[in-house]
Amino acid sequence: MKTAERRTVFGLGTVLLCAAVLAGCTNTQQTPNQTVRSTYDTAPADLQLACANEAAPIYGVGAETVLPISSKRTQDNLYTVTLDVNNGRQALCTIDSDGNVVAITDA
Amino acid sequence: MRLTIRTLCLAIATLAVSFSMGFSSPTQTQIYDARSGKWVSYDPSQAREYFQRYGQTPEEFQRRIVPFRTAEKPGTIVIDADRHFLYYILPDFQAIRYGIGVGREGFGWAGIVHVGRKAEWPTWTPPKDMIERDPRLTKYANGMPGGIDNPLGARALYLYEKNRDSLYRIHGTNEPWTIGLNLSSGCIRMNNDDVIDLYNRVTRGAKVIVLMTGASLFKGV
Repeated sequence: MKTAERRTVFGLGTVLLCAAVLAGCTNTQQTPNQTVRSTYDTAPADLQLACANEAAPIYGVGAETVLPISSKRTQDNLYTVTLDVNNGRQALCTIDSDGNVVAITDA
Repeated sequence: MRLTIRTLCLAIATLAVSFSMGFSSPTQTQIYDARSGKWVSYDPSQAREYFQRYGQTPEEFQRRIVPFRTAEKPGTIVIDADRHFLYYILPDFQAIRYGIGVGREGFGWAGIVHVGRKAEWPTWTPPKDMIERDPRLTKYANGMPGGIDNPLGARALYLYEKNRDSLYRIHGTNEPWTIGLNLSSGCIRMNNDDVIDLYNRVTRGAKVIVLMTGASLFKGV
């Protein structure tokens, strides 16, 4: 191989090697849209209140006496909310992320 | 003595409810560390460092208008203690969302109360059980005058259950870096700019709904 050809091959190889190294060094992780979160994935407050509002007539009590006491995400777009329905009685509400109540049952 | 027993009962009740629901501590805040690409605990030292570096708390805790679908009337306050947000309900399914600090383990609570009274640059009188826990507060047994060093900050909304003071407040703070943390004795902390904004909107009698997973239910004093 002539000297010029060796230089060309060497130069091209160097470029390719640097590109490979840079690709390996590049941080491909994307920054999340939010920078803070809670350790436990509870339901958004408005969904919890939607459950309380839906449960009140079912249990024959005023909405102001139904209080969400815990919640958690159960699937990608589903939450379960535990409700205190006056005097310690509890109910379970399943609600989706669009605010549609799927089910309300006794806890 | 009554307050000490009450505090002990609240702590025990909180732990009992927490264990029955599978929780042993309140939900905590995490912050995304861009350098490591990991979520890390947003603890007091992290929070103080962040505030010193950026001059404010993380972006999510800044005041903003957000969608909020609810049947609650405009003017109602909804506190999501788990996510460290306070919502002031507006018309048209919107709310102003503020970042807050909430009660530390054993001092969280949930319930439905209302704003009994309001005060600007309030005097702070630590309860007897708080003085017992921290004797340095003895000099304030008769009240600390309002001002920038006062833990209640620029404004206070006193929360009542029927006609009785619950002893809980929504108030400002002299430690703005604590927004997003679980450090208080049960009161809801806001930075002073936010609490002034909220104070100017809220009327006496406004309904306040406090949501906190696993916390003891407020049943009155």
